Amino acid sequence: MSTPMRVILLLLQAVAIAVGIWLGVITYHAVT
Amino acid sequence: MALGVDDVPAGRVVLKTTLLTVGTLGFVFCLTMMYLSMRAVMDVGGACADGGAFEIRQPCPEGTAWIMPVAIFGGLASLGIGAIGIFRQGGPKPFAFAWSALFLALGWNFLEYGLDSPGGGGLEWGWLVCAVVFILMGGLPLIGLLSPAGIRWTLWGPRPPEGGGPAPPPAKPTLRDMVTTVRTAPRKARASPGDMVSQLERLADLRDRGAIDAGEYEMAKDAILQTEADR
Repeated sequence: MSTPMRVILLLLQAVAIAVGIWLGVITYHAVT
Repeated sequence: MALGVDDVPAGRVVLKTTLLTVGTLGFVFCLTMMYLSMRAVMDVGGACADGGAFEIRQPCPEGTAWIMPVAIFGGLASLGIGAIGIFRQGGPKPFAFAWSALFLALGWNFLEYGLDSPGGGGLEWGWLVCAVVFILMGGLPLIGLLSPAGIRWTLWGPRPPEGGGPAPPPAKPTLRDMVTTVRTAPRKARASPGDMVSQLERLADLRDRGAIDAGEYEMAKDAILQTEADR
């Protein structure tokens, strides 16, 4: 696997974690 | 190489990348929901009930009765989806941190509420014991995962071969190797004409598969015949 691909995957996971937390918080407050 | 991953078609790279990212997002989403639901339950004393035929002393905060089971099974499903997206050629394996993330997140809740319980009663030893157990369960694997070798394995994957290209194919046996093999074979192994025939057949098979060319075939065949004549 090339280095740019590894970096892209890492960045995608970082974005996914940030979006997951944000979505979790707003969804929790929307349904409670 | 397609899209930077050896031996994987571009469409499959896109699919696996999507699954990996959706799995990470889903797991973090579910963990966040569980973390917040747990805090809501701890705010009302740490125990609640919902539904059923009995009189309920402490009803659950709104939504937590269904959020928790949905978050648990959703988190497990996300782990499965993300695991399909992990590349064996390398790249991040975020789910190596899932265990630690789960226990440290919930352990933090136990620690915070154990040090300052909602009723204003100061230390809550039951929750502090849970905090220690959860933090140990989540933190001990993290020691290994955050070591240099652990970080390389979880976030980067195996090192590509020198030169950045795919691994070279195994070296083709040279003509000298083949002749040497034939000459140094135990005499018992080439004692009969049948063995010589099988050697010639193997040689022809190598030529047919393209491992050796016609010239090499002829030279090796001559060597076998000469060896047989010398016996």
